[in-house]
Amino acid sequence: MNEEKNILILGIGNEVLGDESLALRLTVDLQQSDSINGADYQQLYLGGLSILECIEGYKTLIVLDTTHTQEEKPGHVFGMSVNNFKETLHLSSTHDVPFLTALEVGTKLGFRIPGNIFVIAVEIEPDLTLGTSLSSNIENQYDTILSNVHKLIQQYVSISKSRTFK
Amino acid sequence: MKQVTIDPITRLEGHGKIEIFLKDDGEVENVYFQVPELRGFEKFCEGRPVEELAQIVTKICGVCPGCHHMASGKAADAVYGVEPTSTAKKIRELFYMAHFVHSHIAHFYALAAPDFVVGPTAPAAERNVLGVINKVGVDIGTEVIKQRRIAQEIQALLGGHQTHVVLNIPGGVRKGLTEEERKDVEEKAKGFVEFSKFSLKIFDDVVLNNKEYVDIILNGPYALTLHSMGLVDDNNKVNFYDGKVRVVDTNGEELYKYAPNEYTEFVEERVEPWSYLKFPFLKKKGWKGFVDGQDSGVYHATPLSRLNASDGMATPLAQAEYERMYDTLGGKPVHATLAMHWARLIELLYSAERALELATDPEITGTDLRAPLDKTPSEGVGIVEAQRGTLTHHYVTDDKGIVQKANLIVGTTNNNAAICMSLKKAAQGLIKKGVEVTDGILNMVEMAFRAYDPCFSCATHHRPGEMPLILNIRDKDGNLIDTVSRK
Repeated sequence: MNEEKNILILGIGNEVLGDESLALRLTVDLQQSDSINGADYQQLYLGGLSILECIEGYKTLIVLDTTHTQEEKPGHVFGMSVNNFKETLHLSSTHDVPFLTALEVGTKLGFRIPGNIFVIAVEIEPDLTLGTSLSSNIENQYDTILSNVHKLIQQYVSISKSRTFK
Repeated sequence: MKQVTIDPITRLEGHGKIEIFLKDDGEVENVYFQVPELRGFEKFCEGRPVEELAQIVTKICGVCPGCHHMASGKAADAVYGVEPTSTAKKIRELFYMAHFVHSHIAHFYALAAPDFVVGPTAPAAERNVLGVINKVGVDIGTEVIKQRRIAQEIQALLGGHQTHVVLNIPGGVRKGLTEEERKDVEEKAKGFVEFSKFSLKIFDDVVLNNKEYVDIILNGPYALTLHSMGLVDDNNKVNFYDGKVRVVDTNGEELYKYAPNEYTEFVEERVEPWSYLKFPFLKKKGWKGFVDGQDSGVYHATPLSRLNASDGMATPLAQAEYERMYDTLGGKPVHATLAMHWARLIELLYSAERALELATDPEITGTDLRAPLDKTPSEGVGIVEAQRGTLTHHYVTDDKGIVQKANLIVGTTNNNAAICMSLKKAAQGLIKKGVEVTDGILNMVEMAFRAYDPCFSCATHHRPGEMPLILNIRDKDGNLIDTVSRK
């Protein structure tokens, strides 16, 4: 694959684990809003090495995931780059490799890894009970979360445009 | 009593925790392995049409969605009392072989190989997949990624998506294979065979030709004398997709051989107050505690147990490797936990060969994809071999096929007691009075755990990815006296 693509917004989560499905829903709503120019959208359940094939060839990768830092209240939106990356709930795979290792492996093996990588993670309170709906706390904040995520994406897209891509 | 905590377990389970309790004299007294478990599966399934479950259960676990899809699809067949068409069964099995190829490659190169290729006591910063690539070379690393991707492509071709699989419907499959697609899969399967042979050669070169490693496998604190479980075909050969469950005892003699719908007569589950995960055991043997041996009810369901429980492999190259393994390790059954890695690579070769057989089977492009449903749905059990053990799905429906009750015994759950016992044995063999508990020793304890390739249903839910290992040593009053950590 030699074609250089622009922006990938990658939602990652589990749609039958309540709030852990949040990033998948956000990705769908962002795609339907069609408000990020030049963006492609994908969804994954797990990170690890499989992520390499998804992200190869893009200039900019923006990952949406959930996190459980316990440093902020559920609904708080964190934004980070790979330089200050802190683990999120699904981006690394216990049965494979951590996210940053996957990026290192990809670079070592000659994959065209995006020059701009950002991770947006929403604080949640994980609940291991199977279910397809969000908790009432997150559901009530959903519009605000979507808006905050959208603002961060626009900010990251702007940063990416100002850089010289690898 | 001192307490040693390995939390979380590196490379495998973000939430897993190993608690090692030391006696006053510094010897290991007991080991507890704890993981959280997803809740509410039964309730989640209730009220849904049984044919939907095969699609839903793939979402439980992002690591082995194909296994749940396959067991669920077979359980739905049984609920409807329908036998899928021959072409449908072959398409399902072809999908499943690709799933095995993908998973076994991932385990060997990303999870197991660091311990052997880089070394069990190598610095943790190097003991990972990058360290493996540094040792074996970029070309091999590239090939690993390529073969994994190809396996995913075959699953996506047949299953609609590599994770959100939509292949199985009661009595058959949704989609067939065109001749053009078949030719493509055939070429890809040839590549799997060559790569599997190559992987076994790496195992030969790196592990079997290293006297120290062979000694660790055969004489290290990594052996348990357990009964072995595995799915077999009519000739008692290993089969991942179909057949009967065979259990052989610690001497390799057949104990039981049962059809999926008989599983409740042979397997029972118990709970322990300190674990979220159940402990299945052989019902007719009874629960005798966390002990191995002929009288114990503890069994394992792993690549090694599948080979132990069978009379051989159904494909020629895998059969030759099967014979070589038992010749090398002193005959059947093998009880060396770390031999699971070798058995897994033999299974990789079998999966590749079987994929090639299926891809060249004239029936694989047939158009008779679904048998008619003409019975009232009621109850059914589907059993397949997941990469990590025998996987059972059991559904009860009303006469409209709406699920009233569901039960699962997942691959790793079979091995819960065995994993606890393996960890205890490894800890007892490695942690001694006067011996500094180093990072390398901790990793060697974890190697007992990793051999099982355990996967918990919450593997899709994981933090932190780097999985720093923290070991706390406490005195008998619980005061922290030392901490060992790696990042």
